[in-house]
Amino acid sequence: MEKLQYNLSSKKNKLSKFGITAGVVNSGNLEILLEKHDKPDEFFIEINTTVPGFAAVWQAVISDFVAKYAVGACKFTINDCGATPAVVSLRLRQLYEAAASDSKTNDYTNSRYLELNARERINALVDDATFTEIMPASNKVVSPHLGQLDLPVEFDDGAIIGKAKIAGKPIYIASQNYAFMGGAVGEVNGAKLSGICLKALKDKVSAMIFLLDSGGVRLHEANAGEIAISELIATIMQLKLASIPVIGVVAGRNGAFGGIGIVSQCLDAIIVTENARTSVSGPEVIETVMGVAEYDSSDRALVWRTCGGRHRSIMGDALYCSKQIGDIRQKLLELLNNPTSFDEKSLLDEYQLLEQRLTDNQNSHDGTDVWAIAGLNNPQQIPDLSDSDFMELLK
Amino acid sequence: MKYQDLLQQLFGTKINYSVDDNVLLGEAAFDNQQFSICGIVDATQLDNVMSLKLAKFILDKVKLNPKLNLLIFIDTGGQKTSRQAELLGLNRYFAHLIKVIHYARAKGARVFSLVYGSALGGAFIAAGLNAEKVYALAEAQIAVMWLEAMSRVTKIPLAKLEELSKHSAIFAPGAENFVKLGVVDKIIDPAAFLPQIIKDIEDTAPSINHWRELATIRGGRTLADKIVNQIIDA
Repeated sequence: MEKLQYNLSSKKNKLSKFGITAGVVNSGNLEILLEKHDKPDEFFIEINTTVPGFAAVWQAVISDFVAKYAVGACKFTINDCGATPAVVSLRLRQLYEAAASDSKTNDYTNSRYLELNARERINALVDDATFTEIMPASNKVVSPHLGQLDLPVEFDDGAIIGKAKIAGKPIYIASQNYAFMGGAVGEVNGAKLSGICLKALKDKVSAMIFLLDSGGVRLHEANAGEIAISELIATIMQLKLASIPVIGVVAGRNGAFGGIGIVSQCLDAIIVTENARTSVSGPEVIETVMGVAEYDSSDRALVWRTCGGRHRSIMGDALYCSKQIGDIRQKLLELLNNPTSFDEKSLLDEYQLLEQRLTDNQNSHDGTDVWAIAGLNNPQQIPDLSDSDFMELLK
Repeated sequence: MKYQDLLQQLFGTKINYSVDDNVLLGEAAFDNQQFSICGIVDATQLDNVMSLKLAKFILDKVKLNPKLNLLIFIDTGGQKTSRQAELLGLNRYFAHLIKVIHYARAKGARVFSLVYGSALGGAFIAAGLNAEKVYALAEAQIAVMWLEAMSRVTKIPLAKLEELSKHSAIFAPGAENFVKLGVVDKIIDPAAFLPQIIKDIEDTAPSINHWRELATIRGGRTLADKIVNQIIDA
């Protein structure tokens, strides 16, 4: 890791938002945090980079930026993971433009959930301008463990948490940043998830919502991550016992695997889309351990038939939804208004369902076998159906 | 340690158990206390059938006596790595077991676990880690993943991981590390285990485990507790 710092003179900024970030810490990318600087005619920038030896290039890119924009009294802090000069310029400009804009809301009507980042997903699903982040990037609560492995940190450690409203009801929400370390859970990230659950328990909100998008435990801090997931599960159980709905959405790039795959099934319900995937061990792990004959992880159709959103919905482990933001929000609202119970009866019902599944599927080797046993006609065609035809079939 | 030897040493003749599908189920007594016992034997990977068997046993016992004492004995090589297990929703089977254990605790059951062999990955999350207190024998092997596999997945050279693991409890395998991180209450001799449990039962059961506080005191995780408290008060 290399740390670079520059002071440049610049006219005082006219920006309206501070404490915001642009970009993400991911290979070939970076994150920039905007804060206030105490000297009105000076711009201060600090760069923490995984690629040492490029001070001259950084200086050139930053000088170019400062020549075009008034950023006096601004402090930028960059966590860089090998971004090219073009990407750096783009992120600097994006941060400036976001900070200059005075609009409080964005219109996400036509956005695709999959393509939104962790914060945007929250803003897209909750009531306009109701999301208040707790422990945001500007608090700089970062992983203390990544540095010793020469890995860059992210200011929110990949977990975005806070309070918001859905249809006027107070909820707490957590969103996993799939782009930083695959959304994986470490000490800080996991403590943020547990913390918001315990706050939900204390404040008795209408629901705790998880936007899951994670490969599970962050191996770089594996023990802490595994423990954090167990602690998270314990807090989820407390919410269930207190009859506070805990609802998940699995509709992102990484799905929900490993410990987070287990967490997803601990919730009252999860909403999934066609692209969702969830299980304990991912296809790559099973292929590595058991061989390609057991599970060919490059066979996308097989992967989707084994752990995809449609398969999970047919079995009754998830609620299927279209990829439209409005539809996902509508499903969340329905779940908010119809809390499930957590008692002896619900556990016995679940036992019977899981027992029956094992009895029925002794000879099932593929999703299509399971779907045929579930009584669905033409199981081979299910992956090709449109969302509306598939949902018609589920009825 | 073999489960047969361990159980003999713990309970002598005051025990009645069976092992099917590598799942141990039974009843035992010590010092005028009755214990329902269950667990995983022979480092078997935890699968759908086994999880369901454990869950049903616990649920049935809670129905008979919600205030039961339950001991969970752990020796598992992790979650079953098979396409078939995942096809049928292994995560839901694990979650079912987790829910049953927490439901039992909420109903008044006292639940403790002992790692007497291996405790790896998702299987530890599904079973042992849901107890109110977790103990381990000195010979216990606790890990998310062994360092060789971790090196392959993270692409960090094995030598570097081995060097770091000498000083870092955060990612290196080993029961001692899980003590430092606040999860394993202590490393314990078989002879001291049941007297310890008798003592634990006299204390009130915590609704939420105090792992984070212990981790702070023991210096294994310095931020987790602080962060959680800051968020609760935010």
